[in-house]
Amino acid sequence: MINARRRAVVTGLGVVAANGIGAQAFWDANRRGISGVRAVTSFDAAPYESRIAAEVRDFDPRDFLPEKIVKRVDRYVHFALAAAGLAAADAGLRTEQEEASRVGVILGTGLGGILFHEAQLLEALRTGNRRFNPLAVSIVSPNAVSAHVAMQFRCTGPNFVVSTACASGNHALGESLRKVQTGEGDVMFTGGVEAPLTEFVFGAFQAMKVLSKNNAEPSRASRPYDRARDGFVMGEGGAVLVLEELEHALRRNARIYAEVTGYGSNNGAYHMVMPDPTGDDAAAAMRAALRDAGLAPENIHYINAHGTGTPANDVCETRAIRQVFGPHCRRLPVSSTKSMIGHALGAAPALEAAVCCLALSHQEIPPTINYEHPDPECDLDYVPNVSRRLKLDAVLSNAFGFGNANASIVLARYPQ
Amino acid sequence: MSADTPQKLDPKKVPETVIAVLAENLDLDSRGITLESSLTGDLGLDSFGAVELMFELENRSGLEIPEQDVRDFKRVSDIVTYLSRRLHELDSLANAEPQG
Repeated sequence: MINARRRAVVTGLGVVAANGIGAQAFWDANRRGISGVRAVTSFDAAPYESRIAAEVRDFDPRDFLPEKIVKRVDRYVHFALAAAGLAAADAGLRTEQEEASRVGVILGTGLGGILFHEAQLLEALRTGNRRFNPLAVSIVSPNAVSAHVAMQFRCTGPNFVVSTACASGNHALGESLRKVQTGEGDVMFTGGVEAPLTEFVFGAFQAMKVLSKNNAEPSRASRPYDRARDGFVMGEGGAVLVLEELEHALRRNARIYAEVTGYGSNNGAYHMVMPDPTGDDAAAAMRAALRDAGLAPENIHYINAHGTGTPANDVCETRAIRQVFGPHCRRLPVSSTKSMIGHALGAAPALEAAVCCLALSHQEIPPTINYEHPDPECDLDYVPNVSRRLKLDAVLSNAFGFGNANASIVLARYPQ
Repeated sequence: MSADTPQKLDPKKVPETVIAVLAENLDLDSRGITLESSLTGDLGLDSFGAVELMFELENRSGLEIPEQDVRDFKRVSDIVTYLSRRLHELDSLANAEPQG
């Protein structure tokens, strides 16, 4: 199926995150352990148990998009178009000079245009006026995001949206890797975006008892692997990566952050919201990604964990990592980006892939912040609170979504 | 994106409002739009663009614009004349002496 496998490298990063907009600001904040979690400001969160979030502040879509587009899309598409623009600029990629059919878009989002959907309904109920925006269907649809990126950059290659809850961004990246490997595309805009800060989302996640209630200390609330963790903190934002066929990147002298070398995905077929306590399914996804990359567990120098900060995830993920990596765990640092930017659902894996690219290019790994009290059931090296410089050749990034959707990605240093 | 309860449009401001909405919806420079501009020929308004345009004008005028009326619009001036007439009718109704 994949003959003389073509290689895929990341040449551009576009990030819109709660602790930084743009790859450089995002990296500075992550390596310094800066939290983006604050009290919720985008709606009145008073009726909810969790009133904190990693909101993207200081983001005006008008800085990136014409007014005409700003008004016609949901916030999750604002994030995507801004991030795609940043990524293309970062990559020095001029899509108008590319063969349009060779440039594709595969993005992930868990909830799509839920913010607009909810706002329209609340407005209709409040006013009694049942006039909906003529574009409403297309604003709510998850594939609005890949369509808008295609229009913005005039790219007509493979184009779709992946929706696998909190694993969406990793599935998007993995499927984009396949498009490059099989030759269906030379350049892919890939990643994930999410704008889930709405009353419905807070109420719905509250009902599942998975959100942190540490409203008194927002920046300390997201504490993956810490014994005192009490759930995740809702986040938003997104990252878009320019994933490019290696020879194509070399021909135009592009700067290369990292090579994406492996992708493994599966389903645990266990429960809609609970992870399999054995960790077997997550372990199988990691093993599949390693096999795809042609690497042994010992070759992995760092894991960017799913690391949500819920009691269940962190224990199951730790078990799964132990299963796959065994004694190598003693020398295998694992950290959680969500300790700083909360959990941006389908966008989280894309933001974490951006962290992996930056970690590989800087040879430094960002910490898990707020790690204070060891939990006997979470006994790995979580890079507590301070970033660490070390030699990184290959790293693994995990993402696990509701419905037991698992996807792991392997990224490798590209020597330049 | 929110559809607040529409405020009635000042009849004197109908021409500039129509031109501003057209410019914004079609991504055109408002200085290039005149009352004589033809909607499809000069401005490139397509059928879905017309749906969006009417939605926005309804928001701003508080009027309901039936689809069959929209079909008669050929030039910018047709929309201006139509909205002015409808707003005037609304005014006359509001100022009419209560009967009985």
